[in-house]
Amino acid sequence: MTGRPAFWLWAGTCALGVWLAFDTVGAMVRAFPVGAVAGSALLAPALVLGVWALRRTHPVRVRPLWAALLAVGWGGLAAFGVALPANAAFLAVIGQAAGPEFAAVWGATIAAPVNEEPLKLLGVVVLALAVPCTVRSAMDGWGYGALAGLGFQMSENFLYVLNTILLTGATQDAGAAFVSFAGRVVGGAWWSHWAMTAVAGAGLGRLLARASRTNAALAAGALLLAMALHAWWDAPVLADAALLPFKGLPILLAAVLAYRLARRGYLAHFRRAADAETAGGVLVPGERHVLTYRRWRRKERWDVPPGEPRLLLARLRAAELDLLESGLGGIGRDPGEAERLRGDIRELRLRLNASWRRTGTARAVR
Amino acid sequence: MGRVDRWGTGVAAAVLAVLGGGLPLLDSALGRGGRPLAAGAVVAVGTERGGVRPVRVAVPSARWVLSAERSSLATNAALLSGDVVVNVGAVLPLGPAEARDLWHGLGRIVAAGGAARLHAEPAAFTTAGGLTGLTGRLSGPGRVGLAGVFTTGTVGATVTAAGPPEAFRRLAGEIEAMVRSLTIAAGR
Repeated sequence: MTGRPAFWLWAGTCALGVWLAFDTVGAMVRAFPVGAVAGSALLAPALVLGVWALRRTHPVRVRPLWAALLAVGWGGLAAFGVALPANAAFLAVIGQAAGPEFAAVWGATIAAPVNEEPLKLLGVVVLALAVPCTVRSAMDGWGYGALAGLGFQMSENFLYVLNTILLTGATQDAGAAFVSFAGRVVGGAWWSHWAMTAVAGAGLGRLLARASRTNAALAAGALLLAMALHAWWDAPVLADAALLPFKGLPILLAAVLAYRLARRGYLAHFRRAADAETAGGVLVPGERHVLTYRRWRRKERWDVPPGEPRLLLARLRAAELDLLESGLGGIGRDPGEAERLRGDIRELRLRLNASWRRTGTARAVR
Repeated sequence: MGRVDRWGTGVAAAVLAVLGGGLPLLDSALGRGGRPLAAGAVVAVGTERGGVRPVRVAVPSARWVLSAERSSLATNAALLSGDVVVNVGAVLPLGPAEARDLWHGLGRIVAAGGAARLHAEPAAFTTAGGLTGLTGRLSGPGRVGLAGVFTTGTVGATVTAAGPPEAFRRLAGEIEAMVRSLTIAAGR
């Protein structure tokens, strides 16, 4: 991973983002420590919960933590940090071109989607380039897009904690942190950045899996849809707090619909690949069902003696899942990967059966 | 490492450069523009309620420009005349707040900016519309000015004005007139 330029782009942009963010909010954090600490204490568990949940949106396997953190890091540090001067400059340009009154009403509606959606989506691009085969389907694009969006959302929420302190005249710092958290996380997290970037990510994931004109058009369309949803959220309509759920619902529905489509496509491929490998003798009949559900794989482990057999079973299932996903595509795909994995699976199955016999257990994986 | 890796990383870096560097450059190239204000023009600040921004000030002469870059009318308006900057802000305290609370908060906000500090003891001030508040002096390296806070209880307004001593003294009368014209629309 560290040998790839995209990884260093990730690392360098994250460092730049931290510097830019500190330049913008550092003085405010020092001036309002109680509010900053209260905001951090409220947002940190929300971030952990969000990462935990989004890692589990994959229908078959939990997304790797390191890949999830790369996406969250990009959104929360790189995209957020670069967006700060970009948004400020864009708003100033709009203000100069159309006047401060227009900028105050429509500035965010124009600037935020144009700047922030591409910046967040770059997290999926950089991840796909830095770690080959991490993004190999619309499902992966949806998940890592959502994680990049979540990182951005949490950094932005922290900025809003500080902005709320300023808006309330620095009269009740901790209270401002709670009010901001209630509005933006409890009330608004459901249809925020994670959902918009998930939609754009699903389109990009499809393109990264298979480069074609149709998929390029779909990826562009998904990005435009994400930008349109973002603009809709920032537009000065339905601004009353009581109406915000109606404003947010289309964004959440778009993310859910994109998820359902991506999931259906992924599972269709998964089942096709599993049936083909079963017919070829690599998987045994019935194994597809175990592989499809995390719960079944967890339960299966309890029937296996702890120690080497359980370890080998976990490796066998991981290799089988890798094999079924190897046909999905993605950047940096190894053409010999499937054949190598088939060999690994045969060998692991033999070792697993042998270790089971040693422990005196009658059952074996054929 | 394939061609896709290199090209893809290059394209990603280019998008970052355009958004993170190109827009600030374009903003700099456009210069520090703003909308010149006519004598008597009213500038309104704060979140719109029924199409009205609650905090309003009148500009006494045509020497002032509403800065496009430093104003975000939902929260503040920056009025420029040469090197003198008058910043009018709207404040929405979480609960009923007195002018002294706002003065203390404004002191912390000004100090966070790093360029100036409020002097300790403000004096009572009443606007032309009968709104009472506090005003006092502020100063920073090479800059002098005044600050003021006003509140109706649920909505507040802050004013800071600062500039080089000579320029500020020349405009002090106009700035005081601006503060005297400040009004806050009732209710939230």
